[in-house]
Amino acid sequence: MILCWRFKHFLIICLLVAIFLNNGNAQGVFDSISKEVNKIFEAASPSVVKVRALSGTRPRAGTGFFIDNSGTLLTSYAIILDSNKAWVEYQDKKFTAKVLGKDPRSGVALLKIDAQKTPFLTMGDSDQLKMASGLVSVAYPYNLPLAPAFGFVTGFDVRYLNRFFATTHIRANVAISPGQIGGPLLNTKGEVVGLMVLAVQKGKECYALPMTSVKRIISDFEAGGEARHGWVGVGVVEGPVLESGERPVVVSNLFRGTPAAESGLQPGDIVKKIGKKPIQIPSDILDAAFFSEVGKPVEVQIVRKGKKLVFDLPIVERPEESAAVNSLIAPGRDTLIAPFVSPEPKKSQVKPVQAPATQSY
Amino acid sequence: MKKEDQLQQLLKLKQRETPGEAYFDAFVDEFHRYQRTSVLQTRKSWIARWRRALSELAEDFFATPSFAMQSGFAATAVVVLTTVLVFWGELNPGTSNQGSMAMTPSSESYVYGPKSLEDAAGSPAELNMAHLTSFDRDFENSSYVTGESTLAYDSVLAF
Amino acid sequence: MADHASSASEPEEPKDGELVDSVLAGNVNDYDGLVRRYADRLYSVIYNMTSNHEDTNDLLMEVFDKAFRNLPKYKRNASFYTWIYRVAVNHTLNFLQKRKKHRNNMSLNELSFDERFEQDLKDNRVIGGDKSAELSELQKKLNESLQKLSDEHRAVVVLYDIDGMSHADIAETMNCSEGTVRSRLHYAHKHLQKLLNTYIG
Repeated sequence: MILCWRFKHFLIICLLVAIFLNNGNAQGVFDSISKEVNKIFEAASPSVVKVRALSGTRPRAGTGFFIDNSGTLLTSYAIILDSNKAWVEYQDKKFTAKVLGKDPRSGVALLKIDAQKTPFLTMGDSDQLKMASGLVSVAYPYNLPLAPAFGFVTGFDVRYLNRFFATTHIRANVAISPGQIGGPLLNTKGEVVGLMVLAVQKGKECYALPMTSVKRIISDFEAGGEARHGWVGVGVVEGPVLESGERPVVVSNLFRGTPAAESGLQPGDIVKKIGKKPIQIPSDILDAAFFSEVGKPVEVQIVRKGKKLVFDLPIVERPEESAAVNSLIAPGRDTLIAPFVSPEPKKSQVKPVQAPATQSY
Repeated sequence: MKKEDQLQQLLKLKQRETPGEAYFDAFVDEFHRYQRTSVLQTRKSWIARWRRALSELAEDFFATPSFAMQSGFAATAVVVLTTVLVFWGELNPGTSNQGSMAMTPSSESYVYGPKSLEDAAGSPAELNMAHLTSFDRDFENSSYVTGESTLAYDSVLAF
Repeated sequence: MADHASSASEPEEPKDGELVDSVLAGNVNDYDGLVRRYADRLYSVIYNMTSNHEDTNDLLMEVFDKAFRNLPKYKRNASFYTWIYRVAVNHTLNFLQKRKKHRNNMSLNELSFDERFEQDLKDNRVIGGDKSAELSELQKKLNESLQKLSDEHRAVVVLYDIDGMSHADIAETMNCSEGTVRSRLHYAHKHLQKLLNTYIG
C-alpha cells in the first residue's frame, strides 16, 4: 500500500510538474513564435532586395528575391510594367537588372543582375499549404528597412471581387504595405512558397501566387522568354445549384477562331473534366487552363442531356489580354443594335447564357 | 432613340467607373501620407529636376548638332548659372525660404495632417531621412507598388 | 451650378466656402472634408481623361495637394467647385501633354470592367440580357474612341456628358467662352458618333 501511495504521490507530482511546464510553455508561445519568425527573417534577409523600375512619370518601387546563386531574381510584374530595365539594391550597391521575362497575366517578372554567389531562397512546395498554415513575409515597406510579417493562409481564391485571377492564389492575413509587392511568402521552414502580387483590405491581407504556378511561368521564360498561356476557347458560367449540392460548370459560349468554336461543344454542356482534372467548381477550369501546355491536345469531358461526351481539343495560345478575349465574343452589329431599339426582357439568373449570337459560331 | 441621345446615355454611364467606396475611404489617409512625403521631397526634387533637365539637355545637345551650334553656348550658360544658384541655396539653407518648415498652408512647404506618434517622436524629416540609402535617393518620389489594377484580370471565365 | 456641391450634400454639412475659410483660418484638417466631397467626382473626371487608373490615383493626389497649396489664391467670386475642377483639368491636361512626349504606347486600363457599369447598362436597358462580353467590348470601344479625341475635346465631353457640368461652369473651368464649349462639344459628339457608328444608330 505504501508503494501504491508513493506511486500516487509520484503521479501527482508528475502531473504538477507537467502543468507547471505546460504553463511555462504557454507563456512562451509568443516567444517561440517570435523566435521562429526571427530565425526565418534573418535567414531570408540577405536574399531579399529592393527593386525599382521606371515606367511612366514616376519610379515604381517594390521588392524582389534571388532564386539562384547567379543573380536571378523574382519580382512582381506590377513593378516592371512596360520597362525593359530595372534596378536592384543588393549589398548596399545599385545594380542594373535585365528583365528576363515578365507576364501580366500571372504577375510574375524574372530579373537578372550581374553578380556572383548571390544568396538565394529555396523553393518550398506550395501544394502542401493548408488553411491556417503559418506564413512569413520578408519585404521592404515604402523606403523603410526590410521587415517581417507573420500570418496564416486564409484562403485559396481564384476571384477577387468581380475579377478572375489566372489561377488559384493564396490569400494570407499577412499585413502588407506598399512596396512589399514582389516579396517572398515563406513557410515555417523558411522556404519560399508564394510571390506576393496584390495587397487587399487596405494592406491587412495579401494575395500571393503559389510557387508551383510561379515555377510554371519561369519554365516558360527559360524556354522562350515569354509566358505562354494556353486555352481552347470555351467560356463558362456557374450553373444553378443541383439537388446534390453541386454547382455545375456550364459552357456559355465558344470563342471565335479558337479550337472550341469548331469542336462540336455547345452552350449548355456541363464540363466534367479537363485533362485529368475533375471540374467541380468554376475555378477548377482556371487551374486546368493555367497548367495546360500550348501545342498539346487536351481531353474535355462534358455531359449533354445526361449523356457523357468526350472532345479532343488542341491547346492554343490564349490572347494576351483579357480585353482581346472579350473582343472575340463581340458579335458585332446585329446583336448590339437590336437591344438599343427594344431591350430584351431580362433572362432569369439561373439560366445559362445562351445568347443566340454565340451559338452561331 | 436619336444617335446623340444614345451617345449621351452611354457616356453618362462612364460616370460610375470609379474604384468604389473602399478606395475613397482609404484615399484621405493615403493623401496625408502623400503630402507628408512630398514635404520631404519638395526641395530635393528641385535639385533632381535640374539634374534631369541637365541630362536631357545634354542628350539633346549631342543628338542635334545644329542645336549645339546655335544655342548650345547660351543654354549651357543659363544651366550652369542656375545650377550654381540652386546649389548655393543648398549650402545656405537660411537664404532659401523653401528649406524652412512652416506650418501655414500658404507656405510652399508645410506639415499637414493629424499629429501622429511619428510627428511626436521628432521631426518627420529626421525620422525619414536617417535610413534613406543612396539607392532610395536615386529613386526619390517613387510610387510604392500595391499590385492593385496592374494584374491582367479576366471578367469572364474561360479555358 | 454655383452651389452645386452644397445642394447635393446633407443640409447640416458645411458649405465648401465655410470649409475653405476654416482651412485658411488654420484648421487644416477641415481640408479632408473637401477631399472626401470631391474625390470620387474628380477621380471620374481624371480617369475618363487619362483612361488609366494608376495615373488617376497619382494625379488625384497631386491635384488635391496643389489645390491645398494654392488655397490662399482661391478667389471667392468663383465657386470652389469650378475652381478645384479647373485645378484638376489643367493638371491632367499638362500630364497628358507630358505623357505623349514620354510614352508613345501608353497602357489603357480598358480591362477594368466595372460591375456597376454593367449593372447600369442593364438597368438603363441600353442592352438587355446577360451579355457581359458585349458590354466590355462596348466599354472598350467607348474608351478607345474617347482616347481618339484631342485632349481638350475629351475634357469637354468628360465634363459635360460624364460629369454633368453646365456649359457655363465648363467655360469657367476651362477658362474659355461658352461658345467655345458648345462648338467643342458639337465637334466631339459628331466625331464620337462616327467612331461608334457600329454600336449606335
